[in-house]
Amino acid sequence: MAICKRQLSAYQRRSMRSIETMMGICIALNILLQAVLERHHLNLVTRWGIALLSIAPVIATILLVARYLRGEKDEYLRNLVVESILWGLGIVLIADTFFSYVQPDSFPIPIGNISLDIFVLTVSGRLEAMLWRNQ
Amino acid sequence: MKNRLRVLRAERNWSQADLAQKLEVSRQSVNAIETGKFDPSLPLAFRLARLFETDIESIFSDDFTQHE
Repeated sequence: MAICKRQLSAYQRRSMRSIETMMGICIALNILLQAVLERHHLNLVTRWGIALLSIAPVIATILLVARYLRGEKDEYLRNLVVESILWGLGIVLIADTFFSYVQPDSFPIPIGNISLDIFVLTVSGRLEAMLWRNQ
Repeated sequence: MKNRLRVLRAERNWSQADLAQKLEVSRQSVNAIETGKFDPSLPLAFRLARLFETDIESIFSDDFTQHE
């Protein structure tokens, strides 16, 4: 978000910072928990605990984005954020559907493990591109 | 939808940043409206009309209005 940050209000900067931080936590936790699951044979209860832990920052991110959208007075930026989120969801759905058919042979990592990363990269990339295009 | 925002702004020697500040929106929003990439909501259109001391129809026009 380096390009657009200079022109954002204090509220927008604060919101973006907290959303970016939470998205970073989502990705880091996802990588960490995947590594734990690969190295250890855990019982079902622990796996449920890990699964719940993995979705906690995702829920927190959703709540942060919802709070930001509710408070955002600039309707154009609000529009861009919603559009970017839809792009992120769309790309994840497309990748997930496509690789669910071809995955065993051609892709080393299960797509479900990186769908969150794909979503975050798509949303931030799309938002950045739209703001840069409209400088 | 077409608009005369750039003309009205130029008449007052306002930059996009000036107008954005007066409207309390980002400069990108002003640019997006001016270039026709984004149509403002009715409340924002009214704010623009008040700011330029004119009516909404003097700022915005669609194809239907132009053909009438």
